[in-house]
Amino acid sequence: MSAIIPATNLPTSTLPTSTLPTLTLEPAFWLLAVLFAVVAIVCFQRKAWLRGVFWLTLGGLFVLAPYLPPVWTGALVLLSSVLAFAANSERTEDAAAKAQEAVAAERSLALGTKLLKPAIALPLLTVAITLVLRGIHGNVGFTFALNDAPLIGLCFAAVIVLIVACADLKFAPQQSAILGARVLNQIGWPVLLPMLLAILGAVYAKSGVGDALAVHLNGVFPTDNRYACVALFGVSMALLTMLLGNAFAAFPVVLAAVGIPLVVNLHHGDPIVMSAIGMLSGYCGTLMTPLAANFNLVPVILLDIEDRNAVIKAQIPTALWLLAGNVGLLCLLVYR
Amino acid sequence: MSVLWGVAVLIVGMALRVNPLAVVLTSALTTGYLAGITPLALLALIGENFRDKRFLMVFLLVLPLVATLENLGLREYLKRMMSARRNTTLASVLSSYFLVRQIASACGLTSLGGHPQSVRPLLVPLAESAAMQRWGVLKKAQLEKLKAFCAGTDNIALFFGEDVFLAFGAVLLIQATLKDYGIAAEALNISLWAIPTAILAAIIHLIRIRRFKL
Repeated sequence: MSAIIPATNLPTSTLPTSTLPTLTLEPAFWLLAVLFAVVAIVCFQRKAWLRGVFWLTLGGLFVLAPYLPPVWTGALVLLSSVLAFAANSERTEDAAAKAQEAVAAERSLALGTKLLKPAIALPLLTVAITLVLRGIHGNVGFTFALNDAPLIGLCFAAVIVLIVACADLKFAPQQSAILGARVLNQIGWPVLLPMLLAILGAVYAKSGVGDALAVHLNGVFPTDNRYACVALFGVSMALLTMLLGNAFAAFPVVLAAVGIPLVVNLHHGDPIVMSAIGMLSGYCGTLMTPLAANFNLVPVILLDIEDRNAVIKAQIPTALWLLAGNVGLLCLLVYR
Repeated sequence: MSVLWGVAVLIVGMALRVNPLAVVLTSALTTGYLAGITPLALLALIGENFRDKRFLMVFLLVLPLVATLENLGLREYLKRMMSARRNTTLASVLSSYFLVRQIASACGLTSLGGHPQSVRPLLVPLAESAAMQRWGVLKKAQLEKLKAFCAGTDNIALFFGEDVFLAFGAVLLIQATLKDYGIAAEALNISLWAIPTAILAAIIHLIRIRRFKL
C-alpha cells in the first residue's frame, strides 16, 4: 500500500521539483518484501533453503534498491537469478492443495455471496481510487506521478478489500498472507521474468538495437511505391515492437527510419493518421512477443498455466488479422 | 560486431527452450558487451532498471486476497451460480467481458479489468463453468487453453480500447514525437484515428470468440 513520505527521500529522478510530500509506490514495495519474506519462511519450513534465500534476496532488493548503488543492485539481481536457477530442482509441492478443493466446495455453500462481494469490489475500488487520484491531482497537499495512479489504486484496493473481507468472512489476515505466499512459492522463479525482460528491453534500447535494425530495413526496398512504403511502416512497427517488447520504444525508431523520410516527405502521406494506426500496428506486435512480459507472461504466472507461450498463442490469430487490417487501413486512409 | 547478435541469442535461446532466465541474462550481457558498454556500467544499467521497474511486480499484492477467496471456495461458488442459469454460454461470457473492457478502456477506465483484479478471480471461473456446461469436466490442456484465451481477451480489449482515450500515453507520445519533426497534431485528432482499428479489433476478436472451441 502506498503512503505519504517526504519528497526528499525519493530515489527516482522523474519526480516534479516541488516541496509537497509525494505519494510513491515505495510502501507497496515494502509490503511486497514482507510477502516475499513470508514465502521465504514457508520455504525454510520445508527445508527448501536455496528457494528461501532467493525470496529473501528478492525482498531485500525491493526495499533497498533505491538506497544501494546501482552496480550493487545489478550484481545482486544477477546473483538472485543464479539462486533461482539453482533452486529450480528443489521440490516444494503442495500435497494439501488437492484436499483443500473439496473442503472449499463445502465451505462456499455456507458463505455464498459473501465470497463474491470482495471479488467484485476489487476492480471497482481500483477504478474508483484511480479516478479520485486523477481528479485531485495538483489540488491537494501531496503529489504523485499521474502514471502511478492505477497502480496506487490497485494497492489500496487490494489491502482495503483484504481487510474488510477478512473481517466479514472471519478469516485471519496472517492466514491470508500465508495462502498468498504459497501461491507465490508455486509460481517460483518465473516471477522474476517480467522484470528481467523489462531490463533486457532497456539494455537493447541503450545498445541501439532499434537503430541497427532500421539500417538493415532500409536499402532493400521499393521506395517508389507509396503503398509499399506505408505497409512497410505498419509491418516494421509490429516487428520492431516484437523485438523490443514495447510499441512505445519502437515508434520513434520506425518513424525516423520509414515514416518521416518515405511516407511523409517522399509520398506526402498524412503523418497523424499514419502515426495513430502505426502505433496500433505496433500493438499487434505486442500481442505476439514474450518480451511484453507484463501482458503475455504475467497472466501465465498468475493463472498457473504451464506453457509459457500459451497467451501469445491464443493472441496470434487476432494479432495477425488485425495487423493485416491495419495495413489495409493505412493504405486507404494515409493518402486520402 | 553488430548488437543484433545479442538479439539472435534471445531468439535462438527461446526457440531451443533453454531456461529463460539464462537466455535473457545472456542476451542482455552479450548485447551490452557488443555495444561497448563496460561490465560495471552494464551492472549499473541492470541495477537502475531493476529499481525503476519494480512496479511491474506490484500486481502480486492481490495474491493474499485472491488466494483467500479461492481457499474459501469462490470458484466453486461461481460455478454453482453459473450452472443455475443454463443459457449462459462461453461465447456470451467472453463477448460481454470483451465489450465492457474495451469500452471502459476507451473511456480511460483501464484499471477496471486486468489479470490480477478481474481475470483470475472472476473471468476465468465464469468462463470455466460456462465451458463445463458445453464440454463437461475440462482436461488440463483444455483448461490451460481456456485460461490463455481469457487472458488474451483482456489484453486485446485493453490495447485497442485505450488508444481512443485522449489522455492515454500513446496519444501523448505520438503528439510529442511528431512535434520533434515540426508537425503539430491535436490529441483529439490522433485518438479519433484510433477508432477504425478499435472497431476492427472488436469485430475480429468477437468472431474468434464465437468460433472458439476447446
